[in-house]
Amino acid sequence: MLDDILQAAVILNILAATIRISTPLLMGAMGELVSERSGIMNLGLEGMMIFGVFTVWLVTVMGGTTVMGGVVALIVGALLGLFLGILVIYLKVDQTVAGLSINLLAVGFGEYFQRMINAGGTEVMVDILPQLSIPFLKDIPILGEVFFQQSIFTYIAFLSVPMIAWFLGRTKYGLTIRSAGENPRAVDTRGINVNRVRLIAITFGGLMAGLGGAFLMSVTSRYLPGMVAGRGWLAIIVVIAGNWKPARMVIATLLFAFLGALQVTLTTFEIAISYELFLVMPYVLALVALALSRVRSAQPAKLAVPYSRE
Amino acid sequence: MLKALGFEIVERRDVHPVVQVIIVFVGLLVAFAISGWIIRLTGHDPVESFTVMFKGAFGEKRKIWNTLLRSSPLLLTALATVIAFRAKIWSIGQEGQMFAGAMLAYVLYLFIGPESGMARPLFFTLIVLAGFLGGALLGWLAGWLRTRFNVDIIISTVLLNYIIITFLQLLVYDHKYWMDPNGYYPRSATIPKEDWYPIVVEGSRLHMGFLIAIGLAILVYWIVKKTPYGFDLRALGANPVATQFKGINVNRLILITMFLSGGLAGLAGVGELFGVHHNVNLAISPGYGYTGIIVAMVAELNPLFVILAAIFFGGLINGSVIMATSTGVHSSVTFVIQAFVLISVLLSRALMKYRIRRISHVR
Amino acid sequence: MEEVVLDRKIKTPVGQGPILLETKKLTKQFPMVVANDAVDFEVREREIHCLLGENGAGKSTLAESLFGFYSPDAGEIIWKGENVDISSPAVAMDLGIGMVHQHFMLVETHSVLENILLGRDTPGVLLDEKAARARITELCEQYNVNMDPDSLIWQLSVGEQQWVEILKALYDGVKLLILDEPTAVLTPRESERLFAILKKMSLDGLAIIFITHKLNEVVQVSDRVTVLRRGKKVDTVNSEEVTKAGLARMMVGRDVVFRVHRDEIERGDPVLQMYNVQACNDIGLKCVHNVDLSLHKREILGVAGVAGNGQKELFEVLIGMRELEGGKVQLDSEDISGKSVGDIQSSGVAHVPGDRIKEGLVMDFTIAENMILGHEWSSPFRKGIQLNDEAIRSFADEGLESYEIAAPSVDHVTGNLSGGNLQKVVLAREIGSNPKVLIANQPTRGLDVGVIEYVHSQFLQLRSDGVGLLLFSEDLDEIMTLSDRIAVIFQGEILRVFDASEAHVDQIGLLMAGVKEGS
Repeated sequence: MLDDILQAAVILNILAATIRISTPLLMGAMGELVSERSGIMNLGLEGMMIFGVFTVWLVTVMGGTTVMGGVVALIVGALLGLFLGILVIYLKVDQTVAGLSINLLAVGFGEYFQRMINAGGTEVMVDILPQLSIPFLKDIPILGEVFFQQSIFTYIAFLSVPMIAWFLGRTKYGLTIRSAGENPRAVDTRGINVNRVRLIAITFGGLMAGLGGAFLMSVTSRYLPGMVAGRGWLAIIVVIAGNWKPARMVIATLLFAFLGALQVTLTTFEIAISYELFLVMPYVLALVALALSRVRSAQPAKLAVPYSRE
Repeated sequence: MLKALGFEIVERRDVHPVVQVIIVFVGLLVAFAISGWIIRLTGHDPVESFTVMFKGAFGEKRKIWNTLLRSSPLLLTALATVIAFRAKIWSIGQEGQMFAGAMLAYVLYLFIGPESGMARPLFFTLIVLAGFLGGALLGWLAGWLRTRFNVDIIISTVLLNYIIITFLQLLVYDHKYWMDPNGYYPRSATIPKEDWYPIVVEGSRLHMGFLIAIGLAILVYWIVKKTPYGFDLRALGANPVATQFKGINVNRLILITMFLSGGLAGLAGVGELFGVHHNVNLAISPGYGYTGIIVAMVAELNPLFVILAAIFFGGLINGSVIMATSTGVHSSVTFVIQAFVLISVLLSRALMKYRIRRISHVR
Repeated sequence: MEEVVLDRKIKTPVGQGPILLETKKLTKQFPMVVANDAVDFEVREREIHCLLGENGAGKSTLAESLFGFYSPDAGEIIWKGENVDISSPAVAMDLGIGMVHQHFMLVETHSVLENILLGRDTPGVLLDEKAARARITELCEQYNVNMDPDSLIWQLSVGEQQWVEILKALYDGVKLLILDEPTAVLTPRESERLFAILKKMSLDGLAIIFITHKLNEVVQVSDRVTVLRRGKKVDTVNSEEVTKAGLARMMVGRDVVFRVHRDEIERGDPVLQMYNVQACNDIGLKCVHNVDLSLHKREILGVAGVAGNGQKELFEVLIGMRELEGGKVQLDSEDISGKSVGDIQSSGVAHVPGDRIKEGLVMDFTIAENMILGHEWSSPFRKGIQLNDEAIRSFADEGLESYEIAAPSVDHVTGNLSGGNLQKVVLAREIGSNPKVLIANQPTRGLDVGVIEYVHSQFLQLRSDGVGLLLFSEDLDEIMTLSDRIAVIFQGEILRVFDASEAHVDQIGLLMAGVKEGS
C-alpha cells in the first residue's frame, strides 16, 4: 500500500493540494501580519473568513457570479475590519470580546441564512471557479502541475507575500505601520495619527480575511456552515510561528497545509491512521509550535496595547 | 474635528447602577430590532415570530421548566467565564471544557458499568466530580501552557476546543470505541434510565443539574466576594502590577483559576450528558460555551445577575426552537440574536464611558 | 565617535542676540499639581540656554509645551515676534522647533535610517534611502560623528542613540533644538562629545534649550541659565556670572525648613544589610554596582540621588520584585537574597513604592480592600477560608482615623481619593503590618506640603518605635529633614555615606549631580 501512495501521481496530488490549501491560510496570515505590525491583533479573523465564505454564497443565491461574490466578500471583510478597529482602537473595547462578537455574528449569520434560504427546497450551489493555468509554465514537468494550475486566489495569495513584504519594508507607509506597532509614541511625535494608521491596517486585515473565505467558497460548490473550521485561527498562529516574517510565515503555512493535504488525499487509501488524527494534527502542531516559539524576537513591542497620549 | 467646534471627549468615571441596567435593556432592544429586520429579510413577520418565541419560552408552566432546564448549562459556562474574565484571563475554552467534562464522566461511567446498582448518592457524586475534573484538566492545561510557555490563553483555549471535539468525533464515529454497536448515528449507546440525573420537578425534565448550577452561582459569588482567593482574582484583573508588588503569586493564580473555570464548564457538559441527552454525541454543546460568554458579559461578570441572564438566554434558545416549528423561522436565528445582543451591550457600555463636554481651558 | 576639543574662547556674545522664542505667563496644570506656574522665559538666537531645576520643577513640562505635546492652560508663546499656537509636534516642527526627549522616541528594532525616515514628507511612495543616506553622512561629517545609517538602534550605545535623536531634528533644519536631560544617560566622556557638538551647532546658527539638573554642565556648556523651582521661575542669569554653589541654592531653595523635628536617638543593631548588591535594568544592562549599605534599627538612612541613577532598581531588588544579579541581602540574621516578594514581606519588610497608583494600590478596590492588599491570606484578615470582614473593617477604620484619610468611609472606591490620601492608605497598610524595616521610594513625590509633613512625622515615629527606614528620595529637603545618615547614589554606585551632622545641602547637592570632591 505504501507503494500505492508513493506513486508519482499521488505525491504530485499532495503537493498541489498543499499549495491550494495554503491559500486561505496565507491570505489571512498576510493580512494579519499587516494588522499586527501596526499593533492590532485581529481576534475576529475566523469570523471575517466565515463572512467571506457566506458572502460569496449569498451573492450566488441572489443571482451573481462567483467572481462578483469574491469582490463583495473583499468589501465585507474590509468593513468588518473597520468595525473591529473602531471598537478596539477608539471605543477601547477589550480585543478578545470584540473579536468574539464578530466570530459569533459570523456563525449566526452563516447558519441562519443557509437554513432559511435552503428551506425552499432546492439548495443553491456555487459555481466553482475554474483553475487558472498559466500558459507555458503549466507544462513544466512536476513544477507545472504543482504550482501553475491553481486558482487565481492562490496566485494572489502567494504574490501578496513579496508584495506585502516589499510594502512594509520599502515604502514610507510601511515604515509608519511597522513603527506604530513598536513605538507608537515615536510615531505620534512625528505628527502622525497613530490611531488612523492602525485602523487602516486592520481594515486591510479584514479585507484579506474576507478574500481568504471567498477562496474557500470558490473551490467547493456546496456551502456548509462550519466550512472554515479554524483556518482563521491557524492564520493567526502562522504569524506567530513565522516570527512576523513573511518568508518564515510561508514555511509555517506550507507545513500546516501539507498536513491538511495529507488528510484530504490519504483518506482515500485504507490507512491505519484514522481520519480524525489527520484532522487534529494541524491544531496540535499549532500548539506545539506556539509553545516552542520562545523566539518571538520580532513580536511588535506594543502588540495589542491600546495607545493613548498620557 | 470636534475640537474645532469647541467640544472634546472625556472619560466618565462612575456609571450609576440604574444607568447600567438601562444600558443592558437598550442593548437588548436594539439587538432585537436588528434581528427582527433580518427575520423580515428572510420573508417572515418579526412581531409574530418574537411573540411565539416569548410564549414558547415563558408561556406556560411546562415551558418555564424547560427554559430553566436549558439555562443550567448556560449558567455554568457563564460562571466559568466570570471567574476567568474577572482576572482578565481571556479563556474561551468553555466549549471544549464542556465536552471534556462529559467525556471524562463517561469514561468513569463505563468503568463503573451501566446499571451497576451503586448507591445513588455515591454514584452521582463520582460522576459529577469526574465531570468537573474533565473540564478542569483541560482548563489547567491551557493555564500551564501560558505560565510555562507564554502561549496566549485565547489561542490555546480555541485550539484545545478543536482538538477535544475532534477527539470526541473519533470516539463516536468509529464502532471501535464508544459508538453504539447497534446504531448508525455518531453517538454512544443510550444510558439506562436509572443512571440519569434525578428529576427535581415532577412531570418535567428539569434535573438536578439545575440545582447544582444555582448552588454554584451562589458559591462563585461568595468565593469572588468573600474569600482571599476571590480577592486575589479581582486584584489581578484590576491591576496586575500592584498585585505582583504585594507578593501575590500570579502564575499560581492563573493555574488555579483556569482549573476552576474549566471545571465549571465541565459540569455543564456532564449535566447535558446525564440529564438531557443520555448518550455521548457531538451535540452535547451546540455552542453553549460561547453563549455562556455572552451571558457573562451581559451580566457584567456578576455571578448573581448571571442567573437572570442565563434564564433569559435559555428562554431565547427554547423560544427559537418552538418558533422554528410553528413559524418556519429557523432556530439558528438565536445565534444571530445572541451575537447582536453582545455587540449592542459592548457598544452601549463603551459609549457610556465617554461623554462630550465643552473644552474648558483658556487659551 | 571621535574626540572634539572644546574651544572655550570662541563663545557667542552672551544675551545679545535677537529673541527667538518667548513665553509669557505660561501655565500648565495636571490633576494633582501645577507643573508650570506663570513662567516667563526667553531664548535668543545662537545661544545655549540651560533650564535648570530639580525633578518636578517643571522643566520637561515647559519643553513639551513648546514642542506641542501638551497644550498650556494659560499664557502665550511668541515665536520670532509672533504669537503662535503650538497645538501638535507637527506644528512645532514646521516652525523649526525640534526636541530630543529624555526617553528616546526611537524604534529599537529598526535601523538609524528607518528611524530618521519615519514620517518624513518626501515625494512618492518609496522610502528615499539614497537622499537620506547622503544627508545623514553630510550631517555626521559636519559634526565629526562616525555612524553607519544601517545599524540597528538596539545595537548602538546610548550616546549614539542620542545622536540619532539629534539627527532627526537636524535633518529637518531646526532653528531651536530642545534637549531634555540629555546627559542623564551618558557617561562623562559621551557628555563631553555632546557638548562639543552643541557648541558647534550654536556657532552654526542654532538656538539650544538644554534641560538639566546637573550643575557642571550648566557652567561648562551654557550661555545663560534659567532656574525653575516647583513650577515657578526663580531667575535667569548669565552662566559666566554665577557659581555652582549659587545655582544649587537657587535650585533647592534657601529655606530648608525643618518642618518636623528629628530628635537625636541612638540607633540600634543592623537590621538590613546589603553586601555587594548588583542589579540590571529592564534592558539587561547593569545599573546597580556593588552596593554595600547597612541599615540599623531606630534609624532613617536616606539615599539621595537624582532619578535614573539605579535607585528604582535597587529598591525593587530589596523588595523582591527584581532579580539580584550579585551579592547578598540579609535581614537580621536571615539571608533573604533572591526570595520572593511574598516571603520578604512576611519576614517583616514593608515598602512604599514609587508609583502609588500603578504599583501600590488597586484603584478599583475599596479603601478597606487596599488596606489589606497582600495580607488577605494572613490572620486576622482571613478566618478559615473566608475573609474576616469585621477584622478588615476595624483595621481599615482605625487606619482611616489615625491617618486622617479624607474619605466618607472605608467602603469608598480608592480611585476617587487625592494623591495625598492615596499615599496615606499605602502608609496605613505598610506601617500597620508592624514591619522591622520600611523601604520607601520617593514617598512624597507629587504631594503637597501638609501631607509631606504628615508622612515625615509618621516616618519619625516609626523610627522611634525601633524600625529601620531606608528612604530613597530625590528631594533634598526631605533627605536632610529625616535622615540620620545620608548615602548618595550616582550611576548605580554609592558615592559616600555620612552622618547627618556632617552633611551640608550644597555638598550633597553637588554629589547628587555627580560632582565629586575637589572638582
